[in-house]
Amino acid sequence: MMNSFGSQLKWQFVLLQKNSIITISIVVTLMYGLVLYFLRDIGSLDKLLVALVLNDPSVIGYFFIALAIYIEMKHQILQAIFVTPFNLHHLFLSKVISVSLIGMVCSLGLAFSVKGFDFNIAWYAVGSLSICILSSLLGLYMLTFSNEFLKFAMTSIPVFLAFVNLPLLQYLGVFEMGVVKCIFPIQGSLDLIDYSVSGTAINFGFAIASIVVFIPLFYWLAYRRFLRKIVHQ
Amino acid sequence: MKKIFKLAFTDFKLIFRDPSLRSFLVLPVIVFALIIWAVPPLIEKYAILAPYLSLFLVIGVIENTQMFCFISSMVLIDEKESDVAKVYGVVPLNKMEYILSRFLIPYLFTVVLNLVLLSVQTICEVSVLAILLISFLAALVVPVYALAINSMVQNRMQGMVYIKAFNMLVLIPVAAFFVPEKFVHLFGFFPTHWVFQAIDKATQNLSIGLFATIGFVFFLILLWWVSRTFVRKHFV
Repeated sequence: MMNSFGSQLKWQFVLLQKNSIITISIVVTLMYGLVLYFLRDIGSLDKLLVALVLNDPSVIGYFFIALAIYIEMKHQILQAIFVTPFNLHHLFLSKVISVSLIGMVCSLGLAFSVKGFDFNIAWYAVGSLSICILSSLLGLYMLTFSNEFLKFAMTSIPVFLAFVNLPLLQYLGVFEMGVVKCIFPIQGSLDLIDYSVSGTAINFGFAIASIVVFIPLFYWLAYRRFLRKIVHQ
Repeated sequence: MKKIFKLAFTDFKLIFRDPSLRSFLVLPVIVFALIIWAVPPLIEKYAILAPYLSLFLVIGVIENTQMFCFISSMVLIDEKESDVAKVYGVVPLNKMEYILSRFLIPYLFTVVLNLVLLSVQTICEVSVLAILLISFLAALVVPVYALAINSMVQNRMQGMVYIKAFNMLVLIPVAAFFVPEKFVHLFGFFPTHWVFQAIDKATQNLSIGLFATIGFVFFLILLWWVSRTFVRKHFV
């Protein structure tokens, strides 16, 4: 079982590299890093860093996982896979984990350029990985509502804005939503990142619980809908 | 020239046949709404934004160019994926005429968008000459962007990856607004830097001649270079 999953995961990375996603993501991160390094003297860049993490690496998961599925559907690859004794959980997990790991590495790259090693790397990695996983799963869920990528991209704008930018605006202090913020799926991960880079006091119990609840919930929702709308049709 | 116009209009109609591409035409409306109705009250409310007035125009102008950067890139990638590009390779137009026909309307459309945006906005006062120069200069982003992407990518997946990277390259010179004066032109390696600096000078009622000239020369050299690369790679 592990071999099958390991093999799927390896091939997902091969596919990502074949489509230049890994190389371009690293290049983009290096360029952001360079700019952030230049800007480090203008004051604290913590908020800019968090805004970038929420709007760049998380996008890798959301859009590229959906784009990969649309391309596999268009070229009848998924249809071929579905008639083999494959395990949909393996396919799902391998896709989500591969893009999320890339997103996490890019997020870490951004943080290193701003903070050096002066931040809590472990919690930051957990927070950014969780955001990437959640956005990938949301991408898998949302793609079932459109039959091609550009439509998906358009319908995604309000969804992705709500998913990422509402918590971001709350974090930036544009508005205060009180306890309502707890229903934002990425709030726990965002708190962990905030704590890691700025040392802000957070409720760890809530942050961990939020991640532990929302990731399985998103997985379940995406899996069920994918099974019904893509695999069975 | 008649053939070029005919192909240009036929090509432009493609966008309206594809509902998913058509929906991207709404993006400038969002940019206009933000610049005309959302930004002025924000500036009034938050004095901290006062030093960055030109930045709002920079973002508005460059976002107007992004619509056709995306649409033209996707249309050309689609043609490559579906092998239609090979058919275009044998039409009775030379390759440069083909490129002109594909980008004539997107370029002019983008020029008009920015002419209107810069004329109706109330954030800063910009002279008519500056508006004209900035609009014609900024719209050059469209062909350079789309041709460069299509010179590099083989499929839609790679296309989207490169679009993400190119969006960042286009916007990166915004950072020049936040660095000390002596470092500003370190961002001059990016062609959009000269557009942004021209807008900045225009909003201060200073001459934009130098920056606009550098921008035009930079973009036209890039355009010539990416056009040659595109012609070599797109039709095979």
